[in-house]
Amino acid sequence: MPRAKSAVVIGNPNSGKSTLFNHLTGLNQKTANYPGVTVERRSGTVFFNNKKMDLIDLPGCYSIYPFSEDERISIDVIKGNLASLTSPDKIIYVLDATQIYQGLTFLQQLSELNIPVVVALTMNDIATKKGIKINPSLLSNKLKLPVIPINAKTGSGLNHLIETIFSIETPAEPIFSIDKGSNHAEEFSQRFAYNQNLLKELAPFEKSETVQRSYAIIKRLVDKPLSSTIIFLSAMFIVFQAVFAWATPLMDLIDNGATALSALVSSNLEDGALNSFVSDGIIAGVGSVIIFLPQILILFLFIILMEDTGYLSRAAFLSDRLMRSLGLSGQSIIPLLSSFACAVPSIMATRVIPNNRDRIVTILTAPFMTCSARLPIYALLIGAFVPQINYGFLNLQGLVLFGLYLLGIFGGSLTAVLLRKSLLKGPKPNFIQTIPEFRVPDLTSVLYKLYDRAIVFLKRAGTVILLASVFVWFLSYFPRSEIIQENLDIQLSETTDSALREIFLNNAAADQLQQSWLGRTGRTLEPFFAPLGWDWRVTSAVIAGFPAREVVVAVMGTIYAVGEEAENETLANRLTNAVDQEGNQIFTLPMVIGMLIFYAWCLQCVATIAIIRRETNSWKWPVISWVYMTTIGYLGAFTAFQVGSML
Amino acid sequence: MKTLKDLNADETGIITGISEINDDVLRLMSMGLVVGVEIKCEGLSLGGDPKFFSLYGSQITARNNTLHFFKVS
Repeated sequence: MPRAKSAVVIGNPNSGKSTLFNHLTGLNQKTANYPGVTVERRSGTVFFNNKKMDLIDLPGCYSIYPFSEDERISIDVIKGNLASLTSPDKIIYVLDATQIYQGLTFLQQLSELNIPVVVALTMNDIATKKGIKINPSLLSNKLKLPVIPINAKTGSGLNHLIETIFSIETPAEPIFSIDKGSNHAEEFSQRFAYNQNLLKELAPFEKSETVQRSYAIIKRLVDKPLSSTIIFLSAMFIVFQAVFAWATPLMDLIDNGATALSALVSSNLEDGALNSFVSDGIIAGVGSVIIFLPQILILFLFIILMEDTGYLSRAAFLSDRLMRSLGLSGQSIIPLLSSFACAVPSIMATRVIPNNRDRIVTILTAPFMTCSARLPIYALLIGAFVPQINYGFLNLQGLVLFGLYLLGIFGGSLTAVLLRKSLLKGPKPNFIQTIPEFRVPDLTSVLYKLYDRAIVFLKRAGTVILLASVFVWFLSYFPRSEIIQENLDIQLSETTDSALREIFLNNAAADQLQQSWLGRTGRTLEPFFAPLGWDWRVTSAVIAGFPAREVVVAVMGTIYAVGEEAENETLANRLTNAVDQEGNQIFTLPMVIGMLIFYAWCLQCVATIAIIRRETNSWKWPVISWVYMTTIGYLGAFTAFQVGSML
Repeated sequence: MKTLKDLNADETGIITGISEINDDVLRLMSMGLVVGVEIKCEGLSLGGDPKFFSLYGSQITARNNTLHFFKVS
C-alpha cells in the first residue's frame, strides 16, 4: 500500500500555525514526544476527495538555523534528519500578514529545499486594523508560490488551501540566491535587504487605511509600563483566583461524586478485600486523578487565551526583570504564580518557556510554592497548636500561614539560584521574542488545545497517580487481622447505639492500620523520623499522603480512631492528647512547627512527580527533585524540633 | 556612538553597524535586525530593561545586554 503523503505546518512563532493545524485536522490528531527530547509532536490527518495526508504541526522558527531544541527538531523534521521520520512531501508555510518582513526570510530558505510549498497568509484582519494591506496575488507572483489568505475563524480559504496542498507537486524556482561563501550573518543581511525591496514593491504599508481607533487605544494602554503593569497584576490576580477559587466547587463535585460512588459500590459488594480494593483503591485512585482536571482546565484556559490574544508575551516582557534576579526569564512568571494553586498544571504550563534550562529550573522551583493541597494539613496543625492571638488587626495564626507561604517562595527562589549556578549552569537566558499583535482568539482552536492538555494529563500522569494510590491502599489494607475483625463483630453484635458502634468501627480501623504493611512501615521508619519528633502514626500518615497531600488528614483521622471524615476539631483534640509509649506528648509546638516546615518544603505529591517525569521526558529530574526537597524538608523539620525543644 | 540600548520610548533609529556577532545577535538578525533597517523603540519594561521595538510592523523584545551590539544613527 503506498505511503500516505505528508506535509508539515511551519512558520514563525505566533503566526497561527496551531490554530490552522487544528482546523485542518479537527479531532483527527494526537500528541506524542519526539524520541529522546521533551518537544511535543502534534500530528494529524487531513482529508480531501477520498485521499488523506499526514500533517505535522512543527514548533515555530525564524530561519533554518535553529536557536533552541524546539527549532532544531523542526529543521530536522523538514530536512529528514530524524531516523523515525522521512522528509515531508510538502510544506504549508504560515505567513503572518502583520509580520511579513520577518516571515519572508524563512519562507525563502524553505522554498530552496526542493519541497513544494504553499503559503497560508494569516492574520489579515489584524493587519487591516494595523493599516497593512497585502495583495495576495501580487505576493504570489513575486514569490512564485501559491499564497492563500486564510481566516481560520470563519473558515475562509481553508478549502482552497487543502485543495492546493493536495494538488501541488512541483517545488517552485528559488526567487533569490545569496552570495556563495556567505556566513549566517551575511546571509541574513542579504535576505532582509531583498525583503525590504520586495516590500517596497508590494507597498503594504503605503496602501494603509487609518488604524482602527479602538485598536490604537488598547495598544497604548497595554504597551506603556505603568498601565500595562496594572493590567498585568489584575490579570494575574484573576488567574490566581480562578484556579484557586473557581475550581473548588468543581473539585468538591468530583470529590463528592467519588465518595458517593465508593459508598454505592461498597454497599453492594460483600465486605472484604475486593470491596475495599474497588471503593478505596480504584475509585479513590481515579478520583485523585480526575480531581486535578478543573484546575488544569481553568489554568490552561487562561494561558491559551493569553497566548492566543497575544497578551502572554507582554506579561512575560513585564516580568522579565524580576525573574532575571532568579536566573530565569519573564516567561516563568505565569507557571510560578499558578503553582500557588497547584503545581501540576503549572508545570505543564512551562512549555511556554522556550529555553530548556529555564524550563527545567522553573519546573523544579514550582513545587515549592504553597499549593492548595498543603492547606488542609496547615489548617489542622495551625488551628490546633498555634494560639489565637491578635496583634492589632493581625492574627498570629494568619501570620504563621503567611510565613509558610514566604517560606515556600524563599525555598523556591534559593533553589532557582542554586540550580542556575550548579546542575543547570549555562549562559544566561536571553529574552528575545516577538510580541504578536492583539487578536480575538479562535474559540474552536482554544477548545482543541484544552482537550489536548486534558488528554495528555490523564494519559501520562494519571496512570502513575492511580498506580501510586492503589499501592498505598494495598499497604494500608493488608495484612488483615482476623482477631481484630472477630472482636469488632462481637462488639457490634452487643450494641445498637450508633455512636458506640462508630467508636468500635473507628478503633478497629485504627488497629487494622497499625498492624498493616503501612503501619509496620511506619514503625520500621520511626527511628529515622524520631529526631523530628514523629512517632509511627505520624510517619505512616505522611507515607500514606504521598499520592496526595490532602490524604494525610484523612489517614490521621483513621490512625487516631476518629474516622476519615471527622471534623478538624475532633481530630485536633486527639492530636493534642496523643502520647508515645513513655507517655510524652507527640504534638508539641516544636514538632508541629517542624512538620509545617516539612510540608512547606518536601515533595509529597506523586502527581507532581508524575508530571515532572512527563514534561522532562526522564526520571532524572523528578528523582532529583524528590530527593532534594525531601532532604531540605527533613533538615528544616529536624532543626525546628531540636532547637525548639531546647528553648 | 549610540546603540539600540540607548533608544528611549518613541525614538527611531537606523541600524548602522553590528559590533559583535554572537548567538543572541544572530538570533535578532534572523528576526530582521540588520544594517540599514529603520527601527522604533515602542516601550520599556519596568526598570528600562528589556525593551521592545517595531520594524516593518513586527515587534521584538530584547535585553540591553544584547541591544548594545547594534549601533544606530
